[in-house]
Amino acid sequence: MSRCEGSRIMKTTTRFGRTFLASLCGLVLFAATAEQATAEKAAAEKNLTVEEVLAKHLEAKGGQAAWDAMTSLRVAGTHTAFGETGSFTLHRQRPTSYLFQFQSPNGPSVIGYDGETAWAIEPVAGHDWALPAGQVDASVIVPEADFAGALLDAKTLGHRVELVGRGDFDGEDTYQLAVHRKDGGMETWHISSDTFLEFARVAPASDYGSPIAEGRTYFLDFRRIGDLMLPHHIEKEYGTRLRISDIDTVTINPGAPKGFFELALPPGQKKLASLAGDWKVKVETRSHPRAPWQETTTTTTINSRFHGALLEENLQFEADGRLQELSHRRTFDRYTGLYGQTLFDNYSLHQDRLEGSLEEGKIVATNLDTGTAWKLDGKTVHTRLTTYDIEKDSFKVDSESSTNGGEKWFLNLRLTYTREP
Amino acid sequence: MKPTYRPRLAAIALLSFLVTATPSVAAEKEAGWPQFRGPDRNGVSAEQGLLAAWPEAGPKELWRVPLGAGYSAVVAQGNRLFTQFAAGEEEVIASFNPSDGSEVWRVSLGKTLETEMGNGPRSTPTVAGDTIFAVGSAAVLMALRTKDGKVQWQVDLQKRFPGRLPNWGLSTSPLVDGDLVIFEVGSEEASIAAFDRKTGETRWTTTEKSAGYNSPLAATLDGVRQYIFAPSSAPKVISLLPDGTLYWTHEWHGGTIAMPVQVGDDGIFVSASSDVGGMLLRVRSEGGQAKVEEVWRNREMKNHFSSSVAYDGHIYGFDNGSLKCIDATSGERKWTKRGLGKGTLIVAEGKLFLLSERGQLVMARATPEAYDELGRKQVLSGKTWTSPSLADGRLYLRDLEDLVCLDVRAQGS
Repeated sequence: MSRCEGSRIMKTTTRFGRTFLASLCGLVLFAATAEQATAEKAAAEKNLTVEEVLAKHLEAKGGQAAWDAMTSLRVAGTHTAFGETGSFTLHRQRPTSYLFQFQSPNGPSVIGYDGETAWAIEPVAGHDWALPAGQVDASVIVPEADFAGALLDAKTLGHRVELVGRGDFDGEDTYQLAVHRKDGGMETWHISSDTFLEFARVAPASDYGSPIAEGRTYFLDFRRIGDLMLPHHIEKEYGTRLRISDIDTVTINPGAPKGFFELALPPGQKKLASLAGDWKVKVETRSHPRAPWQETTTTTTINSRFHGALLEENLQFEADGRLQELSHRRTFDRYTGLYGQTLFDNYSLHQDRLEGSLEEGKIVATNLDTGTAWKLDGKTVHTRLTTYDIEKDSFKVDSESSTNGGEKWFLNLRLTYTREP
Repeated sequence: MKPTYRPRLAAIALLSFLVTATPSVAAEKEAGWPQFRGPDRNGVSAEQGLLAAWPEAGPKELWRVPLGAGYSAVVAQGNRLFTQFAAGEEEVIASFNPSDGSEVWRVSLGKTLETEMGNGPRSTPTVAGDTIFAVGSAAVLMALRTKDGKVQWQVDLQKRFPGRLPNWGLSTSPLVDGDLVIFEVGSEEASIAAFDRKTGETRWTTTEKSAGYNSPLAATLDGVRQYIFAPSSAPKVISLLPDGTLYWTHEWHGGTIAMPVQVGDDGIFVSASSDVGGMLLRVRSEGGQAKVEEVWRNREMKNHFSSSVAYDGHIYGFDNGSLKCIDATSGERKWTKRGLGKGTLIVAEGKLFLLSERGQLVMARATPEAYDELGRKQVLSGKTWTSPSLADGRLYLRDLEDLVCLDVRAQGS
């Protein structure tokens, strides 16, 4: 019905009829206008540039200011993996720190990335301790760690985004954006043409180290948190796997202590970690209890291997007119809670294995119970190493020996370590 | 009036002829929910007079009893229920009273399966007449008397058919058809075997690849009775005639766990996860030879362990983590619903009875128009990978800890 036809009819009608027809006409006009607007919007949106899609996406997500104001994020809720459901917490921190903790009925599992090392604790994969991720797993974990996602963080993180097209993706009309990651990786994001929120992300996946060409993450149940729009139901599918996260709580800018995202060493192992580095060492020695102390200095390096699980040192110094050489390895047994050490020197030519615990800030380790004491003149010689005064840039080690089964100890070597600048 | 009866009488006569002319191996149809996926092994129940939607509080819970770990579905026959589960270090088959869930008997099927992916049996037993047939994870086949669990015969499958057991144990649900018990036994020398239902003697074997997790389907396609297998470890769909003769094969992917589904009179739908998808085959018989045509194949429906249901020209199922409806004739997606995880489903009275991976019982209309939910109720709390069973207006659900009976009859039914 055109406007003219409507006017002609109105002349012959009652007031009620005129009102009704006017309303009808208005509705028709409104409908026609709305339809035209929708069509124009659709036509215009069909031709959106990548910059326009990204701008609309940013706006839909809450705007640049809201995202810039957020430097860390913690979400928590319920997660399902292998059909087993438990609580989870996901911590994020700019630019790319990530820590996912899942209290699975199979045992706690953790996936982390501190911007340098991707790592995981995965009881299902056979390790309930932290291990650096393999290459395939890491290539999946690292992209997950983009704080705001690859699209919003594209400029900051150096990714290039390309608009591939628009079409149906699993029942949703979406803009398809290809992300060429700075590290060479590729992922595809599907942005809803209706809401401009992310609907799905398609990227390579890993099933405990086995590469999977295409993994899909679906973002659903968006809710407003302050100015931000965040998904509260996330599903990841890869191969036969399905992971579902339902978010109950969101904390903006919770912050995180230093080292929070780093490969999680057992607490005892962390104590050892500070011993790694380059050191200047004051060496004090004496050959028997009545002998005067001799003093010299040397330098040494304590190498941290296997992400701090093993410390290795080869210490050399002059004493009693000869070069003394000591090979020293330290580790922490997370099962017994004991510190293990091995010593091998160029005098006894014997390997001692020492065990001990951390008490009042001192690691005291002996070979009294390890069966590795050496012998001198028919006497069994036990060794005790005490590591103490452990600070960030200094610590001390006392070496003692006993020929009466540990009743009395003779201090024969004191090493004072000061970190080399 | 008399002439109007003539066609009906003729039809009855023809039906009688067809029934009597059916090969002797054709199964007598059990009432209730006698096997994996129901009376016709297709996930469809003919029950009537059911709730049209869930009441606000959900369907009434009649009873709940503790159960050990396992994924075996519940089988119902008259006044007995049966299922398999882990009990300590043993795997058992047990019988329950449907009126209150009390246990009637239990029999050990050997050592239980323990894996990091979930302990307990995967196989669902099959009841036929006064006998129930159970396959244990550790490769035992038992025929037990339904009333008291008395063992009629048993076969140590590892002795008779040496081979490597699948990682999750022998998981197939036995097919009973006529006087045969048929399933994948997992030997390199004899992959699929048929046993004499009365004695357990081997009637025939095939030499296809080793066993996986797939359960066979008995189907009459274009008038020919046949057994359809989509073995996990073989890249093909296999059809055997009741005498064990290979009837046809069609190229397919290994790794198939979900059961083949009959679609219409001559269609077979198979589906696999791991980014494989689904395929519809049309199987015709021409001069005693099978003519197999691939109608479509796409990635819309990737069933993992949960088998699809064909209903009214459409296929409903879990495309890994999303519930989907696809057109059976074209494979075209009609709708998708996410949020139920790796759920399971059956169909009854035009409704989908859906059980989510997290134990939510959902009713939705079985229609291609759109996902139309008719109620949702949290019934179980743990990992829920076992499909529902429906018999006499009662819905039986289980997870790794509980067996639950719900009354789903409409009021007044």
